[in-house]
Amino acid sequence: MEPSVEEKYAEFEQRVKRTIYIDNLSPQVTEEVLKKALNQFGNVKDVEFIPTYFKSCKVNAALVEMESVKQAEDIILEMSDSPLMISGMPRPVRALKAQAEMFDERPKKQQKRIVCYWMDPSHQNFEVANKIKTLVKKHAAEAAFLMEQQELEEQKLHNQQLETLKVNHRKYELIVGAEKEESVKKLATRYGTKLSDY
Amino acid sequence: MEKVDENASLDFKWLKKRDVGKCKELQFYESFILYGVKYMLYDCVYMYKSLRVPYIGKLINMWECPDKTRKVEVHWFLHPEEISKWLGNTITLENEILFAIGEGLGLANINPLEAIVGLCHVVCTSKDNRNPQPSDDQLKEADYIFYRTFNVQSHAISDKMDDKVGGLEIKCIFNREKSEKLSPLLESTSVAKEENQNIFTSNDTQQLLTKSIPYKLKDHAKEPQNKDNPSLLNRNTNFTGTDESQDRPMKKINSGVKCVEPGVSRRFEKMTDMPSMKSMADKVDIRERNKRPAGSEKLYHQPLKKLKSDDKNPPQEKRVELKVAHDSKRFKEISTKKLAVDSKLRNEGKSPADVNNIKASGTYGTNQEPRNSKISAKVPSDDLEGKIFKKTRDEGSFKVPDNKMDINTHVGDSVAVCKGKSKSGTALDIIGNNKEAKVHNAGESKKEASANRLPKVSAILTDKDKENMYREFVVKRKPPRPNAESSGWFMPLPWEERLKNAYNKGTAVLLYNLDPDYSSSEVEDIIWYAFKEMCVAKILQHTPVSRPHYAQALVLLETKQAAERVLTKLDEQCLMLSNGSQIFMPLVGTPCPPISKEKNFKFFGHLAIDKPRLKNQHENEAVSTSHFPQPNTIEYDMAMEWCFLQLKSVKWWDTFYKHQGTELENLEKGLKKQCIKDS
Repeated sequence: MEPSVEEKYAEFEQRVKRTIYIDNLSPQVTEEVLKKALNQFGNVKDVEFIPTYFKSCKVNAALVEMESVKQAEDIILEMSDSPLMISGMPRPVRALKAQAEMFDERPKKQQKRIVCYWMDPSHQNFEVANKIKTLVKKHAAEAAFLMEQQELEEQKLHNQQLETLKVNHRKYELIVGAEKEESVKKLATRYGTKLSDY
Repeated sequence: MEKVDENASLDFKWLKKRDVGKCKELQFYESFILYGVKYMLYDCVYMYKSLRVPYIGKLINMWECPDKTRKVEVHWFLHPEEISKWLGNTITLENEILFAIGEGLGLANINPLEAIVGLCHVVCTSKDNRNPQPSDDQLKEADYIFYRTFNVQSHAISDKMDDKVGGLEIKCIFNREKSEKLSPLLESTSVAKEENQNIFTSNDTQQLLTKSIPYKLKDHAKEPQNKDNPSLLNRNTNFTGTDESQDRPMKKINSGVKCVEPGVSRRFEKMTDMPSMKSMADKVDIRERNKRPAGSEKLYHQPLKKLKSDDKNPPQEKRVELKVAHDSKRFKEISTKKLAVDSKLRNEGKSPADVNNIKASGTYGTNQEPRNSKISAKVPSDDLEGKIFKKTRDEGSFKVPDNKMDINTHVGDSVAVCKGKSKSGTALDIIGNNKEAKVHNAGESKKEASANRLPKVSAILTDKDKENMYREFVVKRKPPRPNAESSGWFMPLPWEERLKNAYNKGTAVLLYNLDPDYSSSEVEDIIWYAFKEMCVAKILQHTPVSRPHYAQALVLLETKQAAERVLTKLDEQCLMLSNGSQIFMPLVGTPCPPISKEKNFKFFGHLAIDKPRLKNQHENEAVSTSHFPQPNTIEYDMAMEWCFLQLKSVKWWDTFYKHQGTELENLEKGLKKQCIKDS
């Protein structure tokens, strides 16, 4: 028996509740990796990547469906508390509750009538409608711009961290290298101090 | 009977005694004076905690031991930060605290009396019947409010109050009856206030001030989760001081927000409803805003500079125009340019084509040069609106032939006439008109001829077609496709392939302003009914950074002409869509933006060190899977920085979309009044 529209949608809603939206994923993350990562917390039923078509949109995200609503909620809580890193450090991934609009194919909510019409240009609201149209386009442009800015921010932070990391790494290498050298040991005995911690 | 303390330097004095009860050795009291402040049983106090936000507790017992040490038993209130793990995404108010209930660790403690720092005004705002509701004055004066409890055992949050909460009578938890007076505010709390004054600048006389001050204390405090708080703080100052590109998005948001709510002090915009970690993000906001008066000139120059370097960004223009009252010449040019565009908009409905072209050139970067030159050509002509009217429109209409294959340059004139004569400028009219105009252009003055013809033509057209054209139509499931997409002998390619092909051929169109409830097949139906074009449509999936109000869809049409026709028709006329409710929105279409060819775009955030030494097997494996780092590692600190950036990003997208939402709403109000036309 064919399930009714409402039933289908209710089922879909349940699915939505069980799903986690994960983003900030590196492009190298595959379905396998995600599954392994989240299997620590529960059983992963399905992984679906959200495709990005346009050059302007740089978000890499996926929808991961878990076995139960509780598992999904736990994961989200856990990940908001401590950072989970997948396939690289140190940028953590972000997990959010999935929303219905994030899904690709969703069933109809209810039977509805779609009514549309071409507006009469002599109608007084024609201009308002046109204004709305331009506003929408403007908003899209603004959003694209904001996205660019965000990316610049990310790049900056990335470079910053890379710099500090390199510097720190060099320092550590230096220290480790020095310990191996004879001169340091001699110095230690000269000063009467111990080199090692124990 | 009072017991006077010998140690007068402590400025302490017991007051009212209580009955001894079971324990004969301990002397219980009901109140005492410490440093000149009277504390009574069941008062709420601040307890000392070095370098951090003081704990807040309720005095439930006070006594003196035989060895002259004085103790108090304090029943704790919990800050949201302390229980953030279990709060999760529950939103807490700025100065909300939670009352601890249940059994076990964290409920109450015995502390030396001297650990009390000061009185705390805590008001219970629970809607329980037994709770005397606080007056507005009391709320204003209150340092903190609470209405929920946190069970230290089950870690559950609830706002139901039983008769006995945590071993105390409910009366003790709720506000005191109005007849009893609470002790006056202590010096220490006002001292705390003064400290925070330093951060704020002068115009803080608003009600929110009292609420947010204790919260400020938290901002200062080092939170247990954020280990590298000091470095973050340093980073914050760097951001505000030298970092202009950082400031720019924030400035945008701030100025955007300012536009919407000019009355409220900017500082407090984002102070409401914050889960714990966001306090850091707030701090940046506050510092940003504080910095802005000083560096405002610099910031204002920024958008202008951006405009100079690349003419691409109309959104920048608009902001500059709205917010900055700058009188540089360049700015005037820009604003008049915008005015020109707006005036065109006002005068006729044709100019969406122009604006669309500007937008298209602005955002998508195709055909930049010729269009940019056209835009800049317009600028010098911005003297009188009358002049602009003719000239720019002509220029603008020259662009139209780029899109329309079957309309030649005469359309410019006929368009001008159309606009002059009547407001109806449907594409069909113009096409029909155009053909007639061509014929008659030979001997007569063009305008008069088409002017003469137009009323007749439009009269003929409008009688019949107008009825059809402007009537509403219900979109049902469209008739079965005649050719099953022109061939049934090959399997449809995966969507991505098709999209790429379509983009290359020029048949892809991006639709905005769709109701989010639509499905892809419904979009296809709409296109069929409105344009009589077959297409394949797909609603784009929503992400946290895409518009929350309406959905977008990608539509792949069959031919390039079809795509262009659809686009121009959408631009020139308004196709109003609804989904059964009375709200109609015009559909907006733009050519599809460039598709990203490679999947591996640059991802920021994953760092690697080029280690000269060989990695062993384990290290290789470790990187490819996932892990939670320990709080004492470098990567944890760096992860925190990314988290911080993420929070900021969430905030700025939120504000951004809110702002856009209000802009849209204001315009929508105009539409809501109309009803469906029955022609």
